[in-house]
Amino acid sequence: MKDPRDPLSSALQSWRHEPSPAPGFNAAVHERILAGQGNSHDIAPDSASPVPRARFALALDFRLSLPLAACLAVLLAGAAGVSGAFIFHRTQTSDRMALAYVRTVDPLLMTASRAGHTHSQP
Amino acid sequence: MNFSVRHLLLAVATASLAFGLTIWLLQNRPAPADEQAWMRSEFKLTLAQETEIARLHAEYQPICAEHCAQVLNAREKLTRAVSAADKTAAQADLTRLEAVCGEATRDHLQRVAAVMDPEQGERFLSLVGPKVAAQTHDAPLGLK
Repeated sequence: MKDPRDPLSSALQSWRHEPSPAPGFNAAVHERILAGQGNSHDIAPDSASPVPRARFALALDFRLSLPLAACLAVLLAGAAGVSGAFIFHRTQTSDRMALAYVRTVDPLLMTASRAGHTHSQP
Repeated sequence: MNFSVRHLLLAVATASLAFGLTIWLLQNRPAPADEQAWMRSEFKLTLAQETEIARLHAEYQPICAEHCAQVLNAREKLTRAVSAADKTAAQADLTRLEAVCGEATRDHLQRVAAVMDPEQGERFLSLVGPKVAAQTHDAPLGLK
């Protein structure tokens, strides 16, 4: 028969376990998973050299990778803007100068403007 | 707004700002002095090519002047024509003259393009060809 004064039940209900966070836990798990995948494909694990995929996984965990990528993206965007501007400006200038040149050799354009055209001698 | 969207917007804003600022700065640059200076730098002309093109240009100017005078006369005649028959005849004259002028202009441009390096010549014709007033669309200007 159950004793109502038994403190075990209330102790079990109030019991909580909160393990302290282990640094590098995620990376270690990834490494073990990848090492296990290497074993299942009959690849002999080489303890002297680290698994390249594990290093990649560690790199992703690097805290500054996202801010660095963002800075790089902004720099590349700025460079693209400047390059686009140079190309656009050059295209506009070429178009304008081509029309100016044709006006010196096309009688129809010369007479259309009814300007005091001069037949320039180089 | 999450991290990547914020940075994407920042990149777009940076690109737009860089584009606008560069365009504004470039507009303050002096334009090419004249058409010959522009052609020399744009189509990378050698001294020999530049001299030959100048010679062709000088040779063509009397023909151009003659055509100008004829076109002005034809337009004047069309303006002054009273009867329908006169107007039709004047319009036919003007149309014929416009075709002759256009042909002469295109011929001159092709001779200029032939002096340049082939790649530059093609690029020259693609730039100036569409600007010719009497350009027909049957076939674009190309190196002969």
